[in-house]
Amino acid sequence: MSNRWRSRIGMLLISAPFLMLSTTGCLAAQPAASEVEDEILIQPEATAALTEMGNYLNSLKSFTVISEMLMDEVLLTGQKILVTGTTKYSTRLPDRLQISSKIEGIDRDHEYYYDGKTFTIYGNQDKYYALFDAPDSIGKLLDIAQDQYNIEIPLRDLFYWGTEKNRMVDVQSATFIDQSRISGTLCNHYAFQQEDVDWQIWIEDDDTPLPLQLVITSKLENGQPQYISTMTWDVAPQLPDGTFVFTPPEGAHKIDIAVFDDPEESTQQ
Amino acid sequence: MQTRSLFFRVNTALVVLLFFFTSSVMFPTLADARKSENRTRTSIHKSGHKGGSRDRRPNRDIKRKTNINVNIRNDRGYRYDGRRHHYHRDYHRHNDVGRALVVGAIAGLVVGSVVTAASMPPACSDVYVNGYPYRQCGSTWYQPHYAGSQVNYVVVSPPR
Repeated sequence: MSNRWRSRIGMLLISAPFLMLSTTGCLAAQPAASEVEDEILIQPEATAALTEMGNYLNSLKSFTVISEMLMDEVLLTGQKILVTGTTKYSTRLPDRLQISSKIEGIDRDHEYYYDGKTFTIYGNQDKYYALFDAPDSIGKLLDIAQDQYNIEIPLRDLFYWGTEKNRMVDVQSATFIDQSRISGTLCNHYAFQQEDVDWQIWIEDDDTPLPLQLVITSKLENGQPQYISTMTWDVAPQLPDGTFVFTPPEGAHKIDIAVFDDPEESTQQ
Repeated sequence: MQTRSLFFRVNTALVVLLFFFTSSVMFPTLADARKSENRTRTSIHKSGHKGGSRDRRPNRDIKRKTNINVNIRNDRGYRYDGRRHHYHRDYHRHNDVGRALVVGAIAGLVVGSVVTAASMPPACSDVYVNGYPYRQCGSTWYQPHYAGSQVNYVVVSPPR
């Protein structure tokens, strides 16, 4: 009995240094691995491509872009439904914007008009329109529409890239994937990671570096739904002033638009 | 024999009542399953100020063929100050469905209750009073307003 115990203690003593070694080895290996990852996390060529695209977008005086989109809707049951839609943007920088947005499956058919002074939303189905006083640039307008009126304009990024509103600091990883064709045009495919979204972009591989496809994965939502937009560009459109001015069609009626308060502000009242 | 058939009659009546009661409770739940949390991001950039507001937006109805449930709310989430409609960013519509159905059926709708366009009763007519649009559903009058890009209806006092 005592012999057996002695041999057990002996084995433990012999193995102890090895145990300690392997434990410290494991602990040491962990930070070492992430250090290696850190080095390849952000590829300068990927961020440079984004900057180049942003600068090009910002250099355009006016453009129209048609975005064909596919979007996951996650039902409360967890089931994912893919809805399709088309959004057309007519833009004259810095303060003219007209958007027609149609999404099948969730009954969306809207027009948005921004003529530099007023923003109007019009629903083609119920023929109601509402308006609010707008600031003097598209970037500021999109912020107010989202924050105060809860109006989600898809693909706002087109108006943020290349401006001071672009948030490169949010990007945690940036990688070049490969070259691939979108609608027959050769593109460079990049993948980015942020805390809340993963996104991929296909940028035209020539002297007009336009984004031709954008995929956004919402990581913090149930089912990680995706939004996919494929874009067709016209960078020299003829857009008369009337494009951006809303004229109520026959049968249209003006209604109010709700203001969305932040909870902390409202409780003070 | 006589007493037995009476028992059967009462029993049948009870079963039918129970069926109606449970189905009225069940229907909103079934309709709820068609709703979406709808938080698929369509921009990589968050909104300008207080970044997180995007996470507290209301849910949206997925298109449905039939509108069985009446979807109403009248609580902290919505208020009208006589000039502007206000919503709290953290309101969640679907929580109140079951209760609202019962309240709506028994007591009639309270002025200030908000109904989404998708949840409006089917038999309503558009009425224009002094140029302003209303929807009249029986004795209940609604006034439309935009809440984001969707139209909601708030129950109002009859305008005439």
